[in-house]
Amino acid sequence: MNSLISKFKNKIKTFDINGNAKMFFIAPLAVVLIMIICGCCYQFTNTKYDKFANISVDFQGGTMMTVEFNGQDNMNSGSGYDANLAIITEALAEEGFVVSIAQSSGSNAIIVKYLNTSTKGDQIVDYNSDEKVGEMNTINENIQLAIADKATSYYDGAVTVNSTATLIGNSASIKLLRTALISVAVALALMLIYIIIRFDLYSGLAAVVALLHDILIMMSFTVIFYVEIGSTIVAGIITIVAYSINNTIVVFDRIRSNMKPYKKAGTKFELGDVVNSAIYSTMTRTLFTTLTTAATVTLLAIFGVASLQNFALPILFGLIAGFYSSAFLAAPMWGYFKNLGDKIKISNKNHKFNKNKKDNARLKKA
Amino acid sequence: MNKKQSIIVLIIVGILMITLALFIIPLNGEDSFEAGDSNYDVYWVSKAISMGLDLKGGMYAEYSGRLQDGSEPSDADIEGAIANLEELLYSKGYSEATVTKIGNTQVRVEVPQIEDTSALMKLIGKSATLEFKDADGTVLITGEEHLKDCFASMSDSEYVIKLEFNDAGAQAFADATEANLNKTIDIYIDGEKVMSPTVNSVISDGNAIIEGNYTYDTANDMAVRLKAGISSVKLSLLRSETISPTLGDEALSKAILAAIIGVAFIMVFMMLIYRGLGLASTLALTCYIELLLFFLAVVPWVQLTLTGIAGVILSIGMAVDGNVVIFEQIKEERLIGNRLVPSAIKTGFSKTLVTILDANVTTILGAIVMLIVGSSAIKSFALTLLIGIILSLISSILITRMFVNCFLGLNDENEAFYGLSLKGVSIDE
Repeated sequence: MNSLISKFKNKIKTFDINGNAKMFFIAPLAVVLIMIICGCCYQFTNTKYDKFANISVDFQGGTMMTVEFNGQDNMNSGSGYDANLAIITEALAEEGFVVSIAQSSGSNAIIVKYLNTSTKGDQIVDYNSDEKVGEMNTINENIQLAIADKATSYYDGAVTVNSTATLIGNSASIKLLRTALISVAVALALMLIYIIIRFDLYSGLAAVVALLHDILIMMSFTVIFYVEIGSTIVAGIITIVAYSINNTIVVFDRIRSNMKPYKKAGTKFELGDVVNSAIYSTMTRTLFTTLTTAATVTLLAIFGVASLQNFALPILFGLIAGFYSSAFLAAPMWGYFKNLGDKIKISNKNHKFNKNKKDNARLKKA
Repeated sequence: MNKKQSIIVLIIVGILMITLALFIIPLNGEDSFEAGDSNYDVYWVSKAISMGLDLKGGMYAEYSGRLQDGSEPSDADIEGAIANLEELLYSKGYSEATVTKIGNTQVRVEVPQIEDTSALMKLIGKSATLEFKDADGTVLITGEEHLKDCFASMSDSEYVIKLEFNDAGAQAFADATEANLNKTIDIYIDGEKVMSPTVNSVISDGNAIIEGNYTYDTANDMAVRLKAGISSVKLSLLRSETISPTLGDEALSKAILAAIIGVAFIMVFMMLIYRGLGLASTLALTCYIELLLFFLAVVPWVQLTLTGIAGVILSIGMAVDGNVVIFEQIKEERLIGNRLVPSAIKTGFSKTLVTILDANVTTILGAIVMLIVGSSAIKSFALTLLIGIILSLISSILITRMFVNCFLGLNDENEAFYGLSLKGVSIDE
């Protein structure tokens, strides 16, 4: 393993990351492009997916019902899954609801989602509004009872059913979306302020761009793999924002200490070298810290039940994106912003200098 | 530290950790254990951690509160509605129910471990109307407009129901009692006549009592029913969830499995890469996990939910991050700075302190943001994450260092043990 790492490190060492920074934006762009293509496929082609992304009822209102069939082993394998799903679908149809997404969870549970809109013949009733959500709750209870009855008669009493229903009305989902956006924005702003205080403006800007990249890539993979986007995605995003910045800070910290000798002596230096050596010397720790954290999250995604998977997978995607941005994007971006800032400063100085010259000339004339 | 001190410290810490570990899970699976002739009850840590609804089953419902005229209720209105709901739920036997305010105008009701949710939902969803009518059926007083409070009380060594009216109510009640002196006034809850007390005198100070040979229980029951009609806040359901307890069991055991494998992976990884230093961080990680479990049991706001478990597991993954940063620095000091092992280790720890603090402050900031604005699932995650990060700081900076110092006291020359041998390593730069 060590030899593999040192090979990787040697590659990095001889490669001018800063000089080729643009190259490293190709991969994220490709991911975003794939996301758009996948999303469009999910939306417009006739697959079992019916929407651009797998948005949970949390964000659009609706009901999510987890139905657990107990009494026989592996109820989800083979024809068992279809038979059980048929039971659920039938019970829903009697009340005028249609399953929009169904998936298996664990060995004997099925999760179905449906909108709170019932269609009985020509009569369409929307139960999403504040006044009607209470009625929908009663309907869901009836559906749960109906599923239990049907399962009992289908399996001749050999199977019992436990079910869990999550009902979300329209205003709850709108409120959730609003707090989600606000909290992510607040988290980003706090990180920016903290880094500006501890480092400098350029580091802060570079870190925020890196974090936006992480969020974008994380969401892109979530769409590509059709992982459900529910209320916990907010926690996932904030976690990634707060965690991914750790590695970025380690790199910036190294840049800061690499810059120290130049600051004192006032000598000229090559910004690219500072950036490259900082990236190189922090590469192992960036990789290892991500690896240990990603390992536990991966295990959660493998062993966890559906709701934990939906939480762990986006975090895993975010960790990968965070490693990438800390290792390859943040430091070169810092260099870019610093160069830009220095140029502006110099041109401002020149401007002042020229102005002073003119003023002096005017004074002389007078 | 010299050899003797190192051994003493290691033994003390070892005994301490083993003792603490024994209190986490009852090895015989029971709540008490036998020693000699007596049974000792123990407050097992694993059982003291309070579980959220998604792990133990139950139901929750979130409501938005609106005044009858559709305007936003004030804080006091919502607090009143919550107090009413609590009384209502307790009086109906849902003793474990909790009612909390979320945001400014919303209410969340949680009831663990119940089967029949429909009766409960009906109980909450219904906003009771309370009306006082005279014999002709004219409404004299309405609960939401005129009544302030209502409770069981004592008067002349008898249980009575005490009514307190607001200013408008005092006037209305004075008029009503004057017009109906020595007649009965009928009290209706949701259109159903519940009692018909006789007016004995004109009451103008806004305080009335209803007598009727009550016991405390009957008086209290009636007071609770009347009080439900006082609330002017109308609750409409926003979201609800019922959770079957067996689903939670499966989720919990699988998450624990993931945690155990994750910890094992991290320990093996650290020891493979960093040898003796890795061993120190493995020991520190063990202490960290024990401390984390104790804190989860002790910190009062912790309620372990599925997302909370994810927070625990994530923080275990993050706990060794600090160690990685420190150990890489030590390697650098040794290989590039060409320091001796003890000096490389010392410099490594001190140089990385600020970096580690910087990095963790941001994660703490993120957790605090979630604690403030998050929904309840997110709050549980954020709290366990926050506890985890703070403990991991202690673990990676202090506990690991203590173990490394003990190792150094035992042997500070064996470079291979610390993974810091210069042989066979190409020196960079």
